[in-house]
Amino acid sequence: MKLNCIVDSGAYSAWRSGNSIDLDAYCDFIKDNEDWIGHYVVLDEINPRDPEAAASASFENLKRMRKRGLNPMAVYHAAEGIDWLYRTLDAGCDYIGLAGLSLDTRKSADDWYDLVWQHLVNAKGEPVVKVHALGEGRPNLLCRFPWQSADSTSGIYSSQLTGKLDLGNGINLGMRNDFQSMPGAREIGALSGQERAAVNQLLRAKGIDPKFLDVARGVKSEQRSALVMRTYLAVLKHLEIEDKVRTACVTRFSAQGLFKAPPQKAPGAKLSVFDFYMVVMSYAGLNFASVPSMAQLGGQSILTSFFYMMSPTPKIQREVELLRRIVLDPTDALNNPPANWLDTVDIIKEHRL
Amino acid sequence: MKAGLIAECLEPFTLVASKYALSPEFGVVEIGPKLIRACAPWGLLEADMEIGIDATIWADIAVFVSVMKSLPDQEVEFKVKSGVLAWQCGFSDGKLATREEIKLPALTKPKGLTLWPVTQNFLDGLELGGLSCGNKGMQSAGLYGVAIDNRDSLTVCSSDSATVSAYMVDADGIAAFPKMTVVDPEVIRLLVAIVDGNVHKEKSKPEEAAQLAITPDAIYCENKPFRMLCRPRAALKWDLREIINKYSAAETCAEIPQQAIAAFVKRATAMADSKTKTTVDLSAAEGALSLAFEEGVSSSVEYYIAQGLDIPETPPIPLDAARLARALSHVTEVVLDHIGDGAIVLRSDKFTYIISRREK
Repeated sequence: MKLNCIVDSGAYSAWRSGNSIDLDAYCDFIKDNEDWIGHYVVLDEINPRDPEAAASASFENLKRMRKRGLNPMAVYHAAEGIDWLYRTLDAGCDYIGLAGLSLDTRKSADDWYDLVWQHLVNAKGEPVVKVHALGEGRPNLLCRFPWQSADSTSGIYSSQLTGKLDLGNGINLGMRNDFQSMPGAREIGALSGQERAAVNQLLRAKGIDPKFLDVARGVKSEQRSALVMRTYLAVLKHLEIEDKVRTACVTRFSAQGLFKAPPQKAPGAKLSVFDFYMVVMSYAGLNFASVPSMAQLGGQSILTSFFYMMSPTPKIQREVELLRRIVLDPTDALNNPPANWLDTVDIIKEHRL
Repeated sequence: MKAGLIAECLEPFTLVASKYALSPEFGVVEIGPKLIRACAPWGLLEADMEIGIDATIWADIAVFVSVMKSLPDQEVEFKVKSGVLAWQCGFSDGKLATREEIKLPALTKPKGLTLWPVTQNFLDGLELGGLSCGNKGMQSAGLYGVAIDNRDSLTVCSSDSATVSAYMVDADGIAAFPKMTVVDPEVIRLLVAIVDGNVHKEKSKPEEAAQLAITPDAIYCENKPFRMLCRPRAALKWDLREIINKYSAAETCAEIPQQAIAAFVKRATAMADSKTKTTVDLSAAEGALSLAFEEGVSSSVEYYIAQGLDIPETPPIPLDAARLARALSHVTEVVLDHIGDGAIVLRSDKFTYIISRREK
């Protein structure tokens, strides 16, 4: 079965690295890859000094993309005036992404979601369009509003870049290759016998052999196994969150606060089951461990950025082709893995109980 | 100059420059032989100070202040060489890399200003009236900012949609001020720091009192050695005073047992999974108010926080514990006339704080 795939422009990553994205090139890419791209996000303008100017430029991009026959997911950013959300609704957009990541605290973001959602529901509390939570992976937050979808990357990259093993019960273990301790994580070597037995039991309950926890200093193969299995656990957690949100099945939201917006008059949008998209591509290319993990675990939804795919270098173009193959037939990709997946797939198979 | 005094003098600059700022000019402080300067998107701060650095450097202010705070409270000697600031203080010495030269805008005092002495009451008004502002997400609703409402009496008010705070300053409208000025909450924090900060504790000469001017284009304050110039924000989209007036009825009031409520909020927050999103339920039954907290199997109830009230039985109203705690020390009574609409009003003679229902 084909995977669900969202492509975003990667405008923020481009802006952070001093690059820009050409709108026509982005539109061409989407048109050329319609067979595997499900949804795509508008090319938004990033301008922290002037959110209103950024909103205006993003809206112009939305209009230009629509003129080219595309129907991108619009994005409404924190700090933009609420009028821009109404313009997006008036323009007939049926899928809107909410971007609250620029807010300085989680609490600010929560209150902002409360505020924005009251403009997106009708008198029955039903969302009038499909709404996507951009970069939002907190389960409680996802269970609070009737989202159609969300995406997150933090768990995956944290497991790979920081060496943190998230056990999913609020406890993290530190597994750095240099054996340095990490803030907020217990060191595996410092666990008591009883604690280690509890960790082993927890991993077995998740269907994973805990032997990957024992990494000898300097043994590359063991380090590699630990890295892959940390990623596998992060992907498992990602899919557990998706399950949790699907089970909660939130379909309505009632407005709160002292300044309530009048409800929308439109009928409720037809929502399908909630999808939690996993970000699979970064500056380092296609993630070598999370994609096979997701394929093994039966995950269905991935998100990738045009910014990371637009490079004409053979390596990136090979990875884009591989991504296309995975999206169109993930079972085939798993059964006939590409060369750089081979050891990852073997490690996962070896450690699954 | 002693290290501790340098840290105190530079503390207000930590409210302006931030290493997290996306634009480089907002991320550093410029320290010259006689002048220190920093800027943020919302304003500029300068101080005429000689802290003993004989060249101009650009530095991360948070790091610099932390270093000064950590040194023995003795005279500090600085030397600048090849982009490195070296210091010696008592038995401590060290070096700190400076930042690249960045041109910061100079503060130019607007012409023709009428300066007005800043009173403690006005400062209190800014702090308490601005309590509800702090959530940048509210920019979307046109609610981000603290309104200095000078239409008839002087009232400072703010809101984040879930709460509204308002403080009536003991002054009739000040003719020299615009009818309505909206400022960033950061402006208020800076104003309080430079008027009320440690640097000025010893100051007693009346001619050196802090002075403030507000015009449609600028908020200017000077209190030697500091001067700040900030720009007002765009007007809020809502008339907060109108909202507050809707909640002015006060037929059913109860005194607030501050200590009992504060202890309960502290207890609930300690038991909650999310310390920043703790909610407590206020309910009324048989003329008495109770507060309850429940999460999983953990729970706690505080009965009879007020009793003998003529109010209907009310289902639980979830309230944000942090917001409740914030206002408690400044209010004397709770108004229950609007409990049916899911809102309670905490107030004292000058201060009003409206808290509305929040979902758990």
